[in-house]
Amino acid sequence: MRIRIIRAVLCLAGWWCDAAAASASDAAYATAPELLLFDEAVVTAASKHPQLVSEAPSSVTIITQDDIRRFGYRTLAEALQSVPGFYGSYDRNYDYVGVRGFLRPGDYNDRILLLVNGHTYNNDIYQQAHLGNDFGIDLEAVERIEVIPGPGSALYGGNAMFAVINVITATGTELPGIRPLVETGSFGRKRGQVTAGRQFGEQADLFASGSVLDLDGQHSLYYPEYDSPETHNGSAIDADAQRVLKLYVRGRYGEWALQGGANRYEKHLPTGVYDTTFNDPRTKTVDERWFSELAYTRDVSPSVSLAGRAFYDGMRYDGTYIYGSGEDETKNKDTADSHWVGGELRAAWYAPYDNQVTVGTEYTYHPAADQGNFDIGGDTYLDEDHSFSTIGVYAQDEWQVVPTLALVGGVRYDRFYDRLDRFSPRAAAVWSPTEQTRIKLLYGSAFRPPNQQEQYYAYDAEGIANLANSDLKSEVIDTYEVALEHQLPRGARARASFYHYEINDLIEQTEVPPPNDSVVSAVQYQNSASARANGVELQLRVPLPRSASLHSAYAFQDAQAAGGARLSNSPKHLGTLGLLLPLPAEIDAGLEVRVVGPRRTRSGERVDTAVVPNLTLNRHTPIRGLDVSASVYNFLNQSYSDPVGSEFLQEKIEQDCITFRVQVMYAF
Amino acid sequence: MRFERTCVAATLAVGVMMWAAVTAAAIAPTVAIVKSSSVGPFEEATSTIVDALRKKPPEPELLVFDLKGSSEGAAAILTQVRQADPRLIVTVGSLATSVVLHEKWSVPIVFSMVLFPEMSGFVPTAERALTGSSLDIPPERSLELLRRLLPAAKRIGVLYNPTETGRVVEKIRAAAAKAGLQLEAKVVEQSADAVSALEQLMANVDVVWALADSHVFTPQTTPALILSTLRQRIPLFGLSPGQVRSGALLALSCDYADIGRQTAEQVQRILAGTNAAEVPVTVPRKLLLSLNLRSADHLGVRVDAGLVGEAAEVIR
Repeated sequence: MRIRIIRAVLCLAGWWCDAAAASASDAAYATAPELLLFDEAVVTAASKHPQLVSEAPSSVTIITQDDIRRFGYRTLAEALQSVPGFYGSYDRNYDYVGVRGFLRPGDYNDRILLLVNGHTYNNDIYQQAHLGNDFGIDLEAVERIEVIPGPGSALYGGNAMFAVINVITATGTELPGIRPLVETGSFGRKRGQVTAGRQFGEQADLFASGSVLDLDGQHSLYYPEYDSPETHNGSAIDADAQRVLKLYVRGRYGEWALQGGANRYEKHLPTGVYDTTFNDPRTKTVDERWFSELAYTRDVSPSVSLAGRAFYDGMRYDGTYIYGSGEDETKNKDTADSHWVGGELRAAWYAPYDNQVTVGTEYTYHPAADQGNFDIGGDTYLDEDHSFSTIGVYAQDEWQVVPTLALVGGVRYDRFYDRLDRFSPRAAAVWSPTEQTRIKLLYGSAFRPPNQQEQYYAYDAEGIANLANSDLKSEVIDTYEVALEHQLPRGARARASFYHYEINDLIEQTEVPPPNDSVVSAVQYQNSASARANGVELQLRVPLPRSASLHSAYAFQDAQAAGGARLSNSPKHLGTLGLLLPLPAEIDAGLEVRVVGPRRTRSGERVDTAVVPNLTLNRHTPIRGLDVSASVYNFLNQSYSDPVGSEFLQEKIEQDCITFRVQVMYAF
Repeated sequence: MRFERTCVAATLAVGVMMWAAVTAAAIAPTVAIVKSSSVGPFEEATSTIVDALRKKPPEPELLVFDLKGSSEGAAAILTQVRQADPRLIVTVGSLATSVVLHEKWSVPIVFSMVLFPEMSGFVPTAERALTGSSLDIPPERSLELLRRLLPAAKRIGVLYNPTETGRVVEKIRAAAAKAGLQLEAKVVEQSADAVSALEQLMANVDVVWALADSHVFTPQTTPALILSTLRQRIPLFGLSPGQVRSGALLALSCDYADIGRQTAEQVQRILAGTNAAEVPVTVPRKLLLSLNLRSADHLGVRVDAGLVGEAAEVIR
């Protein structure tokens, strides 16, 4: 009964509905009519079913569409940096997000699990979570982002080492009508985007979103490491452009749900990465990602519901790297191409004695994960094609022992590549010692299996060799956390988390003895490292009158490699301050200041503290349906840099100075 | 001699303190609070009740029980309540009130956070002393707001089920007539008929007023009802800020902490000796306005800046 009432609340909030829930909830209304009036925040990804954020066995943060719009977030990476313990890094190719002091060079966000309405969005060759403009869904089409920090492998399997991020898209019911948008901004930014939504009776709705972004990028970028006459005195001219196409569709008919999308992200690289010819704008990467999923949910009895989904996914990466010039010029292609199919079956049982049991199994088959590297008209260095499958089985029980105490226990077994087995346990206790306070004791183990690149990307060129390693094991993290959540007067909420984690068998590129005389230097991915960290995260959210609100977060994180050395690109201090404030003339202001403490580059050089203030103004114009939005990013024009990996000659890459963006939206 | 006087004085002082302590213990009443579940608004009201009662003497001994949203296990909780021998029982939410009133009590009962208490039968009788703080927003206040926002609207439409909100509709009808407005009420027997009933209703009204009626608003119908009003460009006076975020033009909601304060004041009056029958059931005194200016634009409704300034939440 308790669970049913909670489900009623969730449905009323408009966040989760299914046909059977209605019949369950009807009973609740009779004895709780006031539930019709309450709006409670809900998270679905913490336990693979909707639950109140305060009851989730994790320190959940929800980023709403309202936050996205009012703070002017352009990418997932920007939005995530408002979460305690999250920070960003950009190397002018991809956006990276570090969590709890951990962001390794060459890490393609593969220690974060990215979901779209529960569908895994990390690709299969690099396990990359696309968090920048390479993410395939426009933020205008996002209803909310659920951020669940900590290990999530007990439910989700691989990659959920530091966080599970679930992007919930809008539906045709939530965003009806046609809403076009045009956008311009610094560095020749031109973007057009449109969403269309429609509900068909009570049973069906359809939603679609698509966009085109054309960004010239910075006209001139100066890198002192290349400051010589042979390399254009360190200036890369017109080599920073990007072009992005996105399409996403979501529909529902009764108990059936369908979603799918495709996107293409083309980015020119101005940095001379991988020793390419500096200041040649033809060096670029193109990433494509597509997916489709059909899901079905049915309550087979008042206490048992079943859910199933089947999906088809794909990815393609095409890198063009220019080496030399004139007659010595070589155009190198680095490619990856894969597609995969899979499915998941899940059952939820509202068992006696206030237990909620979730069991499920997940399977994926990858027929051809292809990686290649060759010179156009020349040598082929890499042509690897592997098929593989993954299977996972999981079970979790949430037991409300007494009204003030809930216990959660779960475990998942995964098998990867027909050789790697992993059990990932999870345990949590959620205790409410007072009406306003929740204390959560959390433990979880999570893992990341070696990706295809780490296992099979092997080449031998000009005396330099990258050796394959098909014996790599999974990385494993064990995290212990105590979270304290307290509800203050007037809806304000405070949260403190204290955590400790240890990572073993960390996969790192390691120098190894050359395999033969023709090789001068050789590297190989090995399970050669470990790391540990202790940290504290503090968060305060204060709603203020008239839609104003204040949020602030501070994180202290002490992440160390084995032997006690501080990790590179790992700030000890992070801070965020955000203020949403209505101004006169019906202008709505969103101010956010992010502070990232000093970091070290890969060779130990200090990168100074970054203070990045962003301001967004939104105005609802007198013309019906017409809205305008203007954002200024880094409006104090602070100069700051992000550390980068060893594929760069640079130790750090300077980030954008002050930039702006203007949007005009119209709703039919 | 001085020593003897000191001893006598000390003995007297200790005696006075012991007497005071014993007397205080004897008069410290026990108040049992039974809440329906731990959803946020109930938590907020309960914590405010507890804080307010602790601040003002005589500070009662407070025992809080949580039904966790279920009447299963209520018997055991009520046994504990009886064993505590409370001077007064506070119930938070309809479920807790219903469960507690199902049994006979010789002590006053003060309900809090209850919607439509009269229709639920939560009324005082000769056998039970009952009062409380309801969530019922007086229709006059809602109508006044409607007239400010939509001065041209003369015909108000509501969907309702007679067994659930029939008496509420009659109250609204009377208030509307007093304000020179016409109420068009359409019966919904089952939730499956709600959307078609709304479409028929919208042909004859200038604004739709959402009533908290579970035969009308269900998880399936709520989005469709909001969407229908937007399609037909008929303003919807919603139930909650969440509905306003989803497209309703406006909603009035309660300050749950203030409801808790109202309850605490009633409890304090009764503990101070006032007969519970003389303590009137209250309605919310502090209301929070939510406005959706996007919907206003879509509907062609001009919202004056003064009203926007009064709103607790504005969707732009």
